[in-house]
Amino acid sequence: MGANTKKTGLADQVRAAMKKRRKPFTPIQIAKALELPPGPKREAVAKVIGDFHQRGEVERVGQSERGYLYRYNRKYKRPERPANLKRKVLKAIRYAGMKGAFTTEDVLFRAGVSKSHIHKILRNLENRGFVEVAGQKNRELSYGLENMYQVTDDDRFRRELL
Amino acid sequence: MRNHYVRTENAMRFEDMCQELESKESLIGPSLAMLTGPAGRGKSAAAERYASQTEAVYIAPMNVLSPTMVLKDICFELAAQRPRYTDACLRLIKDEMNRHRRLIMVDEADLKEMRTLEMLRNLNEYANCPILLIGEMDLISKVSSRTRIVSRIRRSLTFEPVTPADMALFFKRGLDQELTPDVVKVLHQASYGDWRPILLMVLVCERALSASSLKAITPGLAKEAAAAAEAARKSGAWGKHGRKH
Repeated sequence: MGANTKKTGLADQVRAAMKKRRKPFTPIQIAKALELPPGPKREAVAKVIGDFHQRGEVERVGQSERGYLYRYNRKYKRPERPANLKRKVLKAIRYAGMKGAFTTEDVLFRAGVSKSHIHKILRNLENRGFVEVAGQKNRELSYGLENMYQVTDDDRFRRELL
Repeated sequence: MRNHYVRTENAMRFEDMCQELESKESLIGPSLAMLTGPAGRGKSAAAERYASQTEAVYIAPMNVLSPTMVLKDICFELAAQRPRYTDACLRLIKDEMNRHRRLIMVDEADLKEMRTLEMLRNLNEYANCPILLIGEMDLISKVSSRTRIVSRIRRSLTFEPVTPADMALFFKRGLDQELTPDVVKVLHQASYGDWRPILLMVLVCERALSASSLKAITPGLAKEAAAAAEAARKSGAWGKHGRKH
């Protein structure tokens, strides 16, 4: 398939067809509603609905002779995204954490926001167990020590915060 | 030292290229692109910063990954999921790109297997997702060996050596020091155009300034810092880095 191939947007079409239905449905009913011929195109619809089910956007409510019965989850909401600034800091923390222990300077370098903002977010993340203090190092420009942090669980960080 | 990101000419051209790859109005569409340069030029730093500031996705270096593992990593970065099977990964990426096109940046692509690069080329075509391959100069010859890949690379950028002006700006932002032309010349020569020696020289200067009564970086101090950078280079601190420019 080349870069100039027209997008089908099958997922969006399936989503729209599912939202119209009030009663539970099977994948084949959705495929028929989209006027898709039997064969690979109808199979693609079943796969798309399977993906939606995995994400929680549809619920499996039973089984019929023709396959599983689904219902569109109208309460489904895409994971809420933090405010833009906070998101930059969170992404910066995650990328800094991929290289091991990091300091607020490492986060500042990537996020480009104020140090106080980064400190506030790091304290909050530490309290919630997303990061932990991994040690201390000498400050570069002044006296004393500064904390080095590490991300405790990258998968959890990505899933719950981003 | 304040580790400030300096928006160099390299960085600005890099950001322009990334924005062009992501833009729906772009003439080149969701394409393959390449960023190359010797180690220490700031490629990874630029990519991580861009990914932190935008919705782009950064795939960190990990050379042991198979093509399928890279695919799953991309799925995880895009949608926080790792589908079990390859076809589910491809569908997820395509669905995510249809919903919201994002640039995928793959670091140390020069160290990836050819199978992985071919997979990324296929992914670019199948899912209409823009992919930026980042690597050292070996990446150019690696990609050039496959017409299928090189013919699809619509944008290519090589990070040039750090300029004296960039370096002076970094000293200004990091240490609040205005360098004289002779000091710039000494330090820049010792840097070989790469950031790692510059970072070392900044630290040397910073420690000397705080330990003595000096208020500014003198030519003598600059020579000390340059000597430290040269010693580190000769000891192989930065691998193959340190080519003359």
